[in-house]
Amino acid sequence: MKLPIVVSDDSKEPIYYQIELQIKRLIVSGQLQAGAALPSIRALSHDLSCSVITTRRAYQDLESKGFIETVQGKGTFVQALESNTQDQIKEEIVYSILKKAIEESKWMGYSLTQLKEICDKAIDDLERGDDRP
Amino acid sequence: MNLAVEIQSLVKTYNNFKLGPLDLKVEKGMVIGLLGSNGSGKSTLLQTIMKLRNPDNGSVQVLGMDINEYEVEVKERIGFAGAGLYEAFKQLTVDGLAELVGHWYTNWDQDYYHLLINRYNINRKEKFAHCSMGTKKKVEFVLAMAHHPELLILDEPTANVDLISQQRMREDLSQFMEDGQHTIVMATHLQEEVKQLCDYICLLDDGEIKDMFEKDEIQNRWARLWLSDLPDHFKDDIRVWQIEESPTQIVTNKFSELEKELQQQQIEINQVKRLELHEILEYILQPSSNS
Repeated sequence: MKLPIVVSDDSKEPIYYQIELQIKRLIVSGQLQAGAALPSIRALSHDLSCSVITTRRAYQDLESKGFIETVQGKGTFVQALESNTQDQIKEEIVYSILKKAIEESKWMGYSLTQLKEICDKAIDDLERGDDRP
Repeated sequence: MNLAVEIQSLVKTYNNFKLGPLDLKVEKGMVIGLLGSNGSGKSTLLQTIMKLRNPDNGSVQVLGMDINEYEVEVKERIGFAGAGLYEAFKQLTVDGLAELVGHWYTNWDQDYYHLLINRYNINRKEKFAHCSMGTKKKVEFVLAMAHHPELLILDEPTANVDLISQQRMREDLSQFMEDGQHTIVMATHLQEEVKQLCDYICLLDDGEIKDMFEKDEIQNRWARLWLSDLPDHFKDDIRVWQIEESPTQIVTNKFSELEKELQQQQIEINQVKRLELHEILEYILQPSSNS
């Protein structure tokens, strides 16, 4: 099976972290349900063109945080999450996406006040059902 | 660390070429890509590991055994493809070759051989001598796989091979590595092969190991940075490999380190771009390298 994960070489975030974050995202959003099997470390490395050292690190982190579990000889599976952990992770993910967008805007020279205006506008537009930029 | 290959102080000279002295450790469960220009010693190294060439000096341990003392036992557990191994038997058909090679291995799996022959669209009745370059490569690959070795030693396994078969070979090699108990040492020139398969890259230059690193380490080390400004003291910094103007940009092999220092000095990194493998090789292998 293939996971909808995309890693970017040009990101400032290390590849193992990108993998970790995206798997977390798939789990908390419910796209990967508890009990679902994950690809093997080697298969994921092949798909993402990274080394097994990198994917192993991502899996080990996810395992130590209780997201996944490796059963010797059977494979790696998604663990059931407690609902408060789930909320916490969701917030973490949204935070990191917003932070990235803010950094990008700052780089283009926007002030924080301007950013808030843009953010308010985006929220208004979405609520009015108008998703054009 | 559980080692599949351990080479110590290996030296091999012939004609005008000298390989080594070199040391190399290959961990079990890993794929090591040997990279380097033509004539850098990749094939010689692989052939010396296989004892197809006898070293002048040094030792080669494969799967925990000295290849000199336990040649037969060790070779049972290795699959080798390369070096025109079968040219001496080229009057045989593909099936004839398989029969010959099958006798060398107690683990030979005739069913798996048939499966691979079909998978790679090889005509079993064809004389090896009449096969195209690409088909010969595929036959060598199939014969290396069909006895379920623990270690594969491959010399440019997909050179001249059609694209679909290349992709299948990479899939089969990934599958081979699946349980973490197998190991591959392969010489290659193909970026795609390195990306999809390799965990470590070993860089050979003029018979010596110039560098060996985990593949994804490249991401932490090499980058092109576009900067808001470049103070003079960075211009002589050995970590800065190239400087270009408008817009100001540098190439570095110590990205993480430099990133922190630039931040401390209030210099903005406007954009980061990782280098492609061949660009990195060019920097590392350039004669006036400043490392």
